Amino acid sequence: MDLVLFKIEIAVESLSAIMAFVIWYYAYRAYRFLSSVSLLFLSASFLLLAIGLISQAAYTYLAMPLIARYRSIFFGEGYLLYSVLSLAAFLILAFAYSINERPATLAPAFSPFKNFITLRASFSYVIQVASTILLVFVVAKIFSEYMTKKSSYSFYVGMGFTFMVVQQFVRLVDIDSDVFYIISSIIQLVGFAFILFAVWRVSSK
Amino acid sequence: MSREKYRSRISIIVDVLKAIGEEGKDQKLTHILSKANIPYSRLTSLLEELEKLEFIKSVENENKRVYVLTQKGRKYIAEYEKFKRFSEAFGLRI
Repeated sequence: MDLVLFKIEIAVESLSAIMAFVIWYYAYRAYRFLSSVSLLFLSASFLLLAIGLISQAAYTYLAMPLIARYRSIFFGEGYLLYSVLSLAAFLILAFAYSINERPATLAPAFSPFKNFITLRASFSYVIQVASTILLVFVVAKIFSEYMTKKSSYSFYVGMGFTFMVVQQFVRLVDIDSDVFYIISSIIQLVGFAFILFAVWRVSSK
Repeated sequence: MSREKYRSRISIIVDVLKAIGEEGKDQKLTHILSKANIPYSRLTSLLEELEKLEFIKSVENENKRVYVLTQKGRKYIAEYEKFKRFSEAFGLRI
């Protein structure tokens, strides 16, 4: 990835992180007021997403001055951390939607890979597949609620998470393409913007 | 009891506050009882609690005790509605 793309990536990730922090803050306030466990899980998931995005932006920033060979390794480390935090966030989010159901169990299957980078990449991929499955479950739950209550707010939140699913899919099919990677980050940003728009409309009514 | 029918403590409080604030006039205990749909003993203890929190105040009117919703109580209802909309936007039930 060249330096211009690195800078775009940092800007997009930082903006997404700010949006995730705003949504976390509002969800946390809602939890404090309503004492709803689901809202606690919702706020926790957005906090993890925000931390993941911040860490990814920080890793990208720190990787910039390194020579190209080490840069991609360092960037990969950051991406792994981000993927793990995102998976944790989506697990918690899925749990919030299925408190009385059996939670999804995830046991990433390890194979005896020869080198660490391949192992890390494979682990990241497994995490992303799991995250995508969890997100699809969340989107299905939100849209089923939307079909019942026809609330426009639910529609925007559902759209936001749908963009996040698309982002996950793009990253799953992306084979070492820097441009695809940036596009997926922008798609995620649009997703956060949709959710933030719903939060803004809810709070300004 | 199904989750749909279950009322959380906070929604009971809001129902009581709404019953008191209805039509912008002072409300008698019987009116609040019928609107909030909770037992008498529970309602009286809840009213005492809400009075201590300054969400409502009780006044004597023609030898009868009536309840009035305060500004703080109105603000509480508005906050509840806002966070309820937020929760519903995410498809979560409170």
